[in-house]
Amino acid sequence: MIRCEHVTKVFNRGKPNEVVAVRDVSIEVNEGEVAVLRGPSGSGKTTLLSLIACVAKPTSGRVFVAGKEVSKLPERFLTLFRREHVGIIFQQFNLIPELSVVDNVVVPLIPTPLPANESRKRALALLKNLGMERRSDFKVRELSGGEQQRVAIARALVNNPRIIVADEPTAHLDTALAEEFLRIMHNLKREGRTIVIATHDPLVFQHEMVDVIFDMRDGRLVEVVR
Amino acid sequence: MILNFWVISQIVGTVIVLLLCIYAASQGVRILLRWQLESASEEQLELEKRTYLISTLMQYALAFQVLSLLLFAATADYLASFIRGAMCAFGSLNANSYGFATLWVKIFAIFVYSSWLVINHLDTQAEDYPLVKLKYALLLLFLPLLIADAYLEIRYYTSISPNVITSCCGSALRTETNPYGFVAMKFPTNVAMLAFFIAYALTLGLLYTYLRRRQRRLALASGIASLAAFAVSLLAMFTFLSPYFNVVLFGLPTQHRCPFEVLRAPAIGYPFYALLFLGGIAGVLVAVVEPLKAKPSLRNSAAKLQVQLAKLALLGFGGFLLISLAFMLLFYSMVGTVFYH
Amino acid sequence: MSFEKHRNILDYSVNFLLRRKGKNLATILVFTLVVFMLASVVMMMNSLNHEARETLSLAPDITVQKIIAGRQGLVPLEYISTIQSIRGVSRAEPRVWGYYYDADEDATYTIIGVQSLESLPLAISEGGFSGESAVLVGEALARAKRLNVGDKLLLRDHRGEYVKFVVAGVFSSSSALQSADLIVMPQDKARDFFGIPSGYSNDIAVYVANPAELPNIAIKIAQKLPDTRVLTREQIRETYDAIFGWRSGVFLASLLGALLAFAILVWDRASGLTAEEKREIGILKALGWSTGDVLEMRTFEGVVLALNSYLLGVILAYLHVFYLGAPLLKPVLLGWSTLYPSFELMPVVTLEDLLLIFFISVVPFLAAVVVPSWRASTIDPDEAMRGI
Repeated sequence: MIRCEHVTKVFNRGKPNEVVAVRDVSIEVNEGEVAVLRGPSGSGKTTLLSLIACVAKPTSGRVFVAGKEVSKLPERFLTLFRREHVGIIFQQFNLIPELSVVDNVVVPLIPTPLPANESRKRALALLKNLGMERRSDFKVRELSGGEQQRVAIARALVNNPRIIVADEPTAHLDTALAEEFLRIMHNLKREGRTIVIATHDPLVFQHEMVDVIFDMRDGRLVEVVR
Repeated sequence: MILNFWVISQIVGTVIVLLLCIYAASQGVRILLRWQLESASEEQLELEKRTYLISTLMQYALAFQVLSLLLFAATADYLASFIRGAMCAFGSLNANSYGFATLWVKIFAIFVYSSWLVINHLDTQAEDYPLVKLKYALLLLFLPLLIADAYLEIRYYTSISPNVITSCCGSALRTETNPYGFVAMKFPTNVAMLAFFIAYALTLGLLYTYLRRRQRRLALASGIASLAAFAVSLLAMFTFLSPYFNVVLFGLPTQHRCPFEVLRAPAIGYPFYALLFLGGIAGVLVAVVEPLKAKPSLRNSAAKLQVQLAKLALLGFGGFLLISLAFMLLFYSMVGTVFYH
Repeated sequence: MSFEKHRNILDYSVNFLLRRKGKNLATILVFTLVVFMLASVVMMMNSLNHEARETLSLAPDITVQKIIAGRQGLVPLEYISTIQSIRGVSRAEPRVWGYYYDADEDATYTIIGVQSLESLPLAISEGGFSGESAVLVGEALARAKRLNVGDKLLLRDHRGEYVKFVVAGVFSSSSALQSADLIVMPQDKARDFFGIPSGYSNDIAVYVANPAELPNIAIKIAQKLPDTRVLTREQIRETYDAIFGWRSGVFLASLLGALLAFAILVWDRASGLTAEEKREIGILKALGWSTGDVLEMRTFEGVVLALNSYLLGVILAYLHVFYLGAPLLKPVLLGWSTLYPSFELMPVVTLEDLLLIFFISVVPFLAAVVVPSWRASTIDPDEAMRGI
């Protein structure tokens, strides 16, 4: 489902502040698997995640997602591809605080031909699944951390993606909420979705659903645990 | 030299369009020189971002150019009261040799912008951007046209002398005092009428057959016929067609062959000309798109677009013809004959 | 190419604008003010121009005035036969007219004495012209003095005595400028009223059969009657044109300055995205909005702002010019009062005026914000990911 071949990502190339965030990494994740990118902060896992999520393109190397070489796609088509196949859960949730819960969830569907009421219906169904239907008209800033994350999950799922990518999803959650999150991810795995999580939280990478762990350090892949 | 609010705003608008296009073209040069689709360098990413800017600038330029054409006609109409001998926009434009030249260049520019935007639209449908080099090279070719537009327009306004008597569309009434007339006015009306109906029969027929058969030569022929039909329609408005409108709408004498008069009934005039431009532009684009189908990544999207364009062209020309015929009938019901000569 | 998609983005951009009311209100305010100024000037110029043309269309081909010691005096009627003897002159008529100050209304009326109604190309909405003391009055005057057909009208003549007239008709409002404050009466009556000796008139109106011969005829009149001033319609028109040209020059200078200030303000506003806005756009891009989608949203924002300000500005300008009589522009235009003592503006707004106002306000605005909008839309999506 996801294959990276000798992927390198350099920021500010040729400038004094040049950073090699990911260096010659090759990984593969099969369809329906849960993969964890494990490593301390600054190990390059977020950057690798953004390459997998089709948010950025590698400086060199090739990235294949769902059978398509996305590393060669122009930005326009990379975006279209991401819109269709990838759902992203960000570290700081990245919700828009002035919008209501349901308005946040429909944001990814706005630049699509789906009529607004259809999008809304879809978002409300997702929120109901996540036990959030009572909160749908609340402003995001009125919610607790756990609730905010569930909104972020609903938003990541609203385009019905085959691949879900999460960056440090449990960093701002207590143990109970983190376990709740993992339960949701587990359900998504059972639906056949491919999930990639970047984390250094043992609660996550020790979970039974995890199929493969990629250990990252200083931008390099140091170990693969299956 | 005439300097007033209308003229100044018109010139300001033209200069804005010119600046937008010069900026777009200068960005285009960078893309032309440095574009490497395969590269993931930051420069390539930056260039790709700039393509959005250029597309947007050109869309604005087209929209402004359409407004500018409308305003140009309106300004000419307004200026008629300042120029001796001019009774409507026709007389104003006829005041010196730049007037009609500016009008033709502006109309031509709208065709060119639309073609560019269609090529641009097709290009962004394919993942390999197959037309990138072509479209930015074309952008550079536009510049002379736009500079000509600005130059002619400014020369037109600066050369108007309120003291020189111009001949107007009604000059047929007073030929002995105004021997200088616009050539189209002297064009034999019956020939123009014949040409008009032949051109329409041909164009509508070709477009329809193209939609049935989707053949390459039919697409090319439709484009050429559409251009001809557009030109003949303008000629018709300068000769036999405009009096029907001018008599029915305003009760003017049949010698008043002014194609601008109908704009004084905006609810009829603007849609009427809009249909003509729709037909002309969409029809010409049917042929423009044809060679682009040679690119493998474009074949499907281009073919689909071509069909839509052909339908739009049919709608535009068909609508224009129907309105014209309707006014001929109204004229007939008022005067008792269609032939007024 | 889907209509729904653009609608969704439009909805979102309106929402985006409404969430930043304070910031956008300032822009709308300034924009509305600029449109208001431009529209007021355009509407007023057009209205004045319209009226001037109408005045001109009523003017005779040639007006002949008698000049005594460098000032205008009364013309002896014998001059008429001299003028009529010139080949090409189709008609020459004496004109008797003057101003009348009505202290009750604090208004100045124009009194015209006519030989027959045909020489006065004004439409009468009701009544006719009959009877020795019959007068026709303008619509505005009739309204101000609450006059109906058949009512009496008392005016003080040159001796200071009240003269009784009967209102026989009212001019329709279609030619308001000329007829608004007009009183028309038989010529002899007017002569008597003003104390103009019989055998004289204020000036002579001359009509020419072939307009091409007009300049020659004017020269011939001037040669045959050296103590007269001969004004052709063309000359009057040139005076108008000169005034219009000069006035609009003054306006253009000041307005282009205002426009420039406005463009700078726009540039400032549009290029400075707040941290919050940047963050939101980054999120949108990470969530699958393309550069084109964000650019479209920013463009819609600009268009919504511009159209609202445009509409608001145009409506306010209309009220300002045609309901309040353009109090803000009047001081600048004081020179007009020599042409139009009453200074009443007829509401004339054409589609072309609206197009013109649009072209000089909305178009420069949209052109000015295009680059900043584009820049805002090119924020990299991975910035949201990296938490910048």
